[in-house]
Amino acid sequence: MRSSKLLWVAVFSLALPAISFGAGFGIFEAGAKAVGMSGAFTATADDPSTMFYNPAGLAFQKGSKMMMGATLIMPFNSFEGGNPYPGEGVTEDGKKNLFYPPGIYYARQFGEKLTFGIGAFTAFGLGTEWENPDQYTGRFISTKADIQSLSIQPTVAYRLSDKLGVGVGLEVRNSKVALHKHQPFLNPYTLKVLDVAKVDLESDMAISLGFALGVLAKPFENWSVGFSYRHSMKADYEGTAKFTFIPTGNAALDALLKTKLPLGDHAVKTSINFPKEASFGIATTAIEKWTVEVDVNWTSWSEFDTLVIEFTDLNSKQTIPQDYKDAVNCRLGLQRQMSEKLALRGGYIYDQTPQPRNGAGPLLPDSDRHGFNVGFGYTLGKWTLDVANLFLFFEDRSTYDVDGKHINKDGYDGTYKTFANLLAFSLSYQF
Amino acid sequence: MKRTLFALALLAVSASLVAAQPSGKVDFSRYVSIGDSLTAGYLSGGLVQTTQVRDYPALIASRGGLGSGFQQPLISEPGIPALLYLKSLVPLVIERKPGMGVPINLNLPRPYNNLGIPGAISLDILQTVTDPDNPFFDIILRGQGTVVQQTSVLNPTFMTVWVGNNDILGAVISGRAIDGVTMTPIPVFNQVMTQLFAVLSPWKSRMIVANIPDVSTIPYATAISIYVTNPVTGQPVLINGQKVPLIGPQGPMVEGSYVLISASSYLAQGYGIPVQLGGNGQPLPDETVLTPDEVVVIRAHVNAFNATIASLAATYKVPLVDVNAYLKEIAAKGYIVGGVTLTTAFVTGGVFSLDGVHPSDIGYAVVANKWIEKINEHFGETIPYVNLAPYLGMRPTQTGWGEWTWVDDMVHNLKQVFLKPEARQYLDRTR
Repeated sequence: MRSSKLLWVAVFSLALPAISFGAGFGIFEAGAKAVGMSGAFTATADDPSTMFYNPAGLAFQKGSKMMMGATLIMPFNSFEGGNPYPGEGVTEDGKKNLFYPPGIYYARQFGEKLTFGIGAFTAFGLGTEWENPDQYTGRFISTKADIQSLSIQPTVAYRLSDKLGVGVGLEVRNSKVALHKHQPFLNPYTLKVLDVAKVDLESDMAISLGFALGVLAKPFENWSVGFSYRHSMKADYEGTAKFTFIPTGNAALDALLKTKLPLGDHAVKTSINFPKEASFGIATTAIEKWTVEVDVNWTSWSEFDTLVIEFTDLNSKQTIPQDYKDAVNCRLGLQRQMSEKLALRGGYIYDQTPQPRNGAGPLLPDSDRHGFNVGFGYTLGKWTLDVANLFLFFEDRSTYDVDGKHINKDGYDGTYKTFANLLAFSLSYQF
Repeated sequence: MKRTLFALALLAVSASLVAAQPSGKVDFSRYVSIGDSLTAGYLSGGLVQTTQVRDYPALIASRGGLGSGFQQPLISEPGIPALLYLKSLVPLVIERKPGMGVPINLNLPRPYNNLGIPGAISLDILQTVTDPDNPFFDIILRGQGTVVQQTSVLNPTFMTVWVGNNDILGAVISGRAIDGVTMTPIPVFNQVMTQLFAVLSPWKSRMIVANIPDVSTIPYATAISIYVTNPVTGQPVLINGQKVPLIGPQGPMVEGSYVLISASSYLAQGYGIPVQLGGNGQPLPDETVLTPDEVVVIRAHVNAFNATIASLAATYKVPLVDVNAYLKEIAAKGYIVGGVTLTTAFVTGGVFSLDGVHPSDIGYAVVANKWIEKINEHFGETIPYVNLAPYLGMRPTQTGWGEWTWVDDMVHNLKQVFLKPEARQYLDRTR
């Protein structure tokens, strides 16, 4: 018991990734070879990271394999304000953080048909943080939002025949949430807005359980078809909201505010409905030296309809509507084997945003994405190094509708511009 | 030769295209606003230049590019009458500034663009030149004819019309709903507005009108609870767990009735409060209370007036700004700007000024944006909304991309190449 707890601590201190690099706050960058094929990996499924993409992929892998890697995510996001608020000419920048969700996998074949594996990866995460939070014009909505998660997934796969394998994994997802913002107060003497408190909400770690299923079929020579499903999960968090007073400079007003504001620490409860997702992919090696795969992924983002924060000791509840819609993304992955040792890869992904236009805001400014990537794999004896770089272009996201009406639900309108560079690498060893 | 001719023709065409594109689709050069105190920019119990320059017609004019061509009957500090100011929040003390302002733009050798006259009812717009009880007619009309006559002299290129608020407001302010005395009888309003639209019909294609808000939603009526309230906590006083109603002229106040702000001085003397709770047990005077019957009558008038306005607007194909619906929405949910919720609460809400009847500076800007939204929608204009940030004193940050400018440029260029259809077309053409 004690040692398992220590293991968790060790894993988490290593890296708790927090950034959203699939639409919404999904993350699909779980292995460098798969990233090199733009995540179109449900049917190719031929390295241990398939525990994430399609558990059935393990059924066709021989011997024992270890794979370790990470994806370095560098997001660049900015915002150009519009009227009526925060106003034309205002620009805001996202903080230039570096995120590195890990992907660590071990798989071992037992007998001819059975393979066991265990993997650690990040399926969901979010990290939106704005520069200069004390001056940031959206600070009364959110200055920083984090959803961090790391999943451990024991997986078993069974090869029913040379043409068909199935797999199942038990996903243990550890996650936590942090939300930071400022509390406004309208000074009745001047009708100007004052910052009167910082509100920092931090949850404890919550464990939620789910599962992943997969089927991988190789009906004809050079063709494979994969299907995978990852179940939805609800994570229930307990945590603390800390209200820190910001003096206004007026002693009488400060005295009044101190009686009205819930300063100090307060217990909070919140929960997140992580969506379920299903992927379907077809891959072919019919063209000599080439692997081509096309995938479609569907995610039930409509389950993320509200974010409810309950202040248990204050007996109050804050409901932040999200109103996400289910979303689809399409992936094309290409690989060309240049020699025994070297493979070059490329791909494209179109990732549809689940977020309604009026919801694009400081907490999470999402948008439809186009990803282009290049990568390579190099095998030397028992070692394989995979490297991939994904250039992720977000379409400009405006909060004005076709008639030019400002529709952001928090009254914060403008255009979000985001670009991200994702550098993934994995090192694998075949025992 | 032929080619040169063609090029010249192209040049001519493009030149004419440029010439055919003036600043916008609406010509604001002779913009005239017709209305009452709401159009004049009256707030906190008076009219003064510092707020007149930010009344909704001035904001529309400046967005439309008119600038100093939009002339108003400006009044010097501290206003006519001198404006109210908040002296103390707890206890609530609102006082008038000392002194009196004077008109400072009386010598304008033409009618004012803003012909909003505080206190004017619909009939006044058609026929009143002077009123011994209301100095604003002389200040604004200067004996040079009625509002419609002066409008005709200006021959407007664009016109906003917001008339009828005072045809019902008197019933609320006086606490008495008497047809022909405190409010305009419905058939009379119908007749007057029909005539007004007929008189203004030469400009109907450049005209936009607004309807009348339900005046029983203004703080003047809603600020004071109908129950005895603890002045320190602001919470209702409970006896045996029950709230205690104030005493009105018809006995204990019932749900659906309103205690007007004019009752506050009586409440301070103990009127309306039962003896056992420290009052004098005497009822509040009739003119400080709206009974449910009076509220029903007032609302029926508002609805009938608005039906008249809607029907005339439809007949003359004039766009209608539904201020009534908008104010109801704001009264119910608040107006959210940058995560700050402004409400219709008295003094502390932000939307209304200290007289409890007229909007605040911010309130007028919010109203102006509603007009602008409709102007853009109906006339196909792209007038920018009023920026609310300066009103709220929320400092914008002006950081920009800084050292990451090159990334922005790179992203922009790559997007042009990969994503934009026009870029692809351009590439096709140059090939």
